[in-house]
Amino acid sequence: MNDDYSSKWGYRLKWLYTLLVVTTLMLPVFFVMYISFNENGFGARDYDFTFEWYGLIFSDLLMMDAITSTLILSAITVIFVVPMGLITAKLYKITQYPLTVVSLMLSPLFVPSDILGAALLVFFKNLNGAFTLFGEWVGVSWFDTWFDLGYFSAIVGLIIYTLPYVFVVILITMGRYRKEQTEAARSCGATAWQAFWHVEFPQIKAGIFSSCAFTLILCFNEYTRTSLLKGGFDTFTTVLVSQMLNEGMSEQSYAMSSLVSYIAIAIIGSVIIFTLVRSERLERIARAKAEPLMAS
Amino acid sequence: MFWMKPAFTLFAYENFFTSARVDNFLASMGHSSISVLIAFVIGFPIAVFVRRRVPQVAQHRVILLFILPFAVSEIIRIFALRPFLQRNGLVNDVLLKIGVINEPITAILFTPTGVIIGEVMSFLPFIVFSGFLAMEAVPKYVFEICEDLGAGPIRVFIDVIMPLAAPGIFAGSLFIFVNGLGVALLPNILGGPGAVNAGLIATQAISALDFPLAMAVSAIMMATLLGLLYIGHRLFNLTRILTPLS
Amino acid sequence: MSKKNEIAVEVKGLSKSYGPVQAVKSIDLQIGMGEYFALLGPSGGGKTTLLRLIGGFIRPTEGQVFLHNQEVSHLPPNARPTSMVFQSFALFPHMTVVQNVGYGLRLKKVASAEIKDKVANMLKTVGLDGYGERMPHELSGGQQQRVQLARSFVLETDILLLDEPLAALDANLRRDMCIELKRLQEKIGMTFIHVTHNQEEAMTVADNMAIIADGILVEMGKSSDLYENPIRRFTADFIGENNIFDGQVSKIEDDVIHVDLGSSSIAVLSRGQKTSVGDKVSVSVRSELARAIDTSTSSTEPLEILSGVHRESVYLGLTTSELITLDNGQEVLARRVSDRYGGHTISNGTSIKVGWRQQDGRLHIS
Repeated sequence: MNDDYSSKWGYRLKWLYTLLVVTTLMLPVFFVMYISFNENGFGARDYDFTFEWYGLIFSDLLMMDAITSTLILSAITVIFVVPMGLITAKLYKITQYPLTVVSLMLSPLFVPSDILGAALLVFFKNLNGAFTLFGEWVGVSWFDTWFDLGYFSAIVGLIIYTLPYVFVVILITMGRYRKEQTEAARSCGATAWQAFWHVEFPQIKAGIFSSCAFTLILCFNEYTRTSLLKGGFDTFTTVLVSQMLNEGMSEQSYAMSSLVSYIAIAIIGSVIIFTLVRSERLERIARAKAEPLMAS
Repeated sequence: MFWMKPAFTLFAYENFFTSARVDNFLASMGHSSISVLIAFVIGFPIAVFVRRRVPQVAQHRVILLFILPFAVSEIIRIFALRPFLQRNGLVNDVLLKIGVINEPITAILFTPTGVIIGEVMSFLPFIVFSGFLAMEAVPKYVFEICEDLGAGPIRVFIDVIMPLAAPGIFAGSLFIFVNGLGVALLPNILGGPGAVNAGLIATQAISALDFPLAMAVSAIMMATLLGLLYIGHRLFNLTRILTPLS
Repeated sequence: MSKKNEIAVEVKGLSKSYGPVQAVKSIDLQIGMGEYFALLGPSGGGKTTLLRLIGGFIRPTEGQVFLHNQEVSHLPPNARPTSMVFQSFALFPHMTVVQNVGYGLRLKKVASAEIKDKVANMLKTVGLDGYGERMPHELSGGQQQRVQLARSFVLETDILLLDEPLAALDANLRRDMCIELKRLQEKIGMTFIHVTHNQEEAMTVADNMAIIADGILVEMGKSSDLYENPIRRFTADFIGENNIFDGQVSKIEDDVIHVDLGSSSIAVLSRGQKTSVGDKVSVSVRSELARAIDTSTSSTEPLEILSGVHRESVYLGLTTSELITLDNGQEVLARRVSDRYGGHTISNGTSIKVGWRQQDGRLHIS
């Protein structure tokens, strides 16, 4: 704590500035939410509050399909990415070349989405071409569409995109975990898997679930890679873009965007609150420990 | 199905360098640099403030606040800037009302300014995060020593904070810079005709099925990135950033 | 106690290297069943590595580990008849005391009613009756160690490994826990292997101990043997407070070896050790067997004497130490139980002699 911080007003001003910046960043979002409740849609002079558009989402087949496909894409990505991140995090802890591992894992962060999407697209096309040629040579048409652009390539792109984030989140959570616990479990007769599942996992659960949530949000919100690697206009983001560029956004789109945003904000907000509660609980525990307990 | 015949050639690179695209590419580098600077000026002080003055337990929470914008899709965030920045948008409305200007400013949306604003808004949190992590390299007692020796805040910033936090700042700036260059949406939606960055060149090339060009642009981008990373590493020893992870 | 004749743990030619660094260099060791054995040594000397090799947490680079005459060198910890108690942080924080203690039994799929009974009994044995539903963070350091002990005992393995179990406790608590550990070991009868860098701890608990330093086994034996008659110079340097004199053998007369220290000469009994003239040897004397002698004192028996200057008297309550700088510059220590009623004090700077009975000196040829 800063007990002798001289300028209370300086502190408050800086706090205000910080909040101001965050609010400004969120302004466009709030605006979208604002519009989503307007009966008269975007740009109209009058404002009538309504939930009409939210209701319409569910009857708009295009929207529902889009949301469903995105959900499927995200879910599959999560299933692959989280174990991958976990295994890599464990590897990082024991490897002799931590620098190499980290550089490799964090490298996708520095590749902009379009470049990544474009490169992967060409990669898959080449792969596809190669396999088809190979198939022709061997005499089967079996290989023809293995690496065609579609769900598969989109998922690969999403995995590459989200892996660094999952890796970092899990690694940070594992920082708290003590190796002695696994050893103690092994010493009690547990196999490596049992030790992980009974002892390590319950303690890093929070990190793993956060990374799942985070991956879901990332996949939902990203546009370029999905559009490049899957094509079509049938996912959440691509549907919105198609509307933006063509007819302009329908009112339901505003509502849908807002809805997804609410959910995402709720998830992140609850993670923040959860860590808040948790850190306060840990603080209380630490304070209790510092006080003299009964003699042993 | 038709595909390209493999043949090794530098034609695509020639194509790129001799066309107007190079100028656009360089111009977009300029814009991205400006975005980085603005984001740094706005965002880094926040990181310093949170690290120094906010109690330890609350620090992470405050930083997490900056994740909130990411809850929303990037395209929505960028697209939603239009009603603010356009001719009859909110910003102009307000400015007109309070009488700062007499006519709506047209030179925001559909110009490089718009792109810069979009970049700053989209990537500011990253400077805050990397600044926050970078400040871990600056121990608290250093500030006390500086106060003791009578250094003013500017001196403290130049002599103490910058050198120690340099790797993290560099990494964050690089991230913004690279994404500014690479995300096609930004110039697409916010820039005007002719506003392009590498990402846009690449995606347009792809739609035109000119894969070699797209890949050439990507390769140039990656080369730029790796070059900058290397320079950064030599100057600041970027591996220092990784210490909080172990 | 005929069990003590059987060997519980045997290690042959055991080595462990981490790249160019050799943590353990070819150690041979035998530990009998039912013994309380201490691995004592300086930090970083390899004793913890050795313990972990025995426990299966580390794979040996060379050599073999035998537990109850079965080779286990490459078996993981859960396949060995050992269990381990750690220095700290080893209780599962998300489980209650009862769940912690019963973990191993649950893994073995023992019936839950039986687990309940065994755990309850074990908690009584370690003195934690009634603490079953507590969480680890609600316990003090000493209580946590007892839970670890209970967790291991309840598995009824034959060998318990303890890795500096008392290092995280404060001095008073440590002393109590030492005695507690000894009591428990005698009661349960398991073989205990206890690693520590604290001499007092090792000597309190152990029947036998081994000094491990720099990756090798320096010396092994009963605590009293190592204290009173150390064979290696290192042991003399490490255990107790000994004065050590390095020199060369100048003359051999039957049992008596004369050692030339440069400017002076002392004699020591060989006790069977073989030397030749010219060998580099060391002589050590326990500081409590060395006495400060001024010119007025006459002694009743022949003493080995070295002369020097009295530096300082240090009063430590039970003992008073005299620090003396010899003529050749070496510092020696003469300790005695403090005189209760004044007693003579020597002023600093006086010329003084330090002496000891010839048979109190120990010869070290390595």
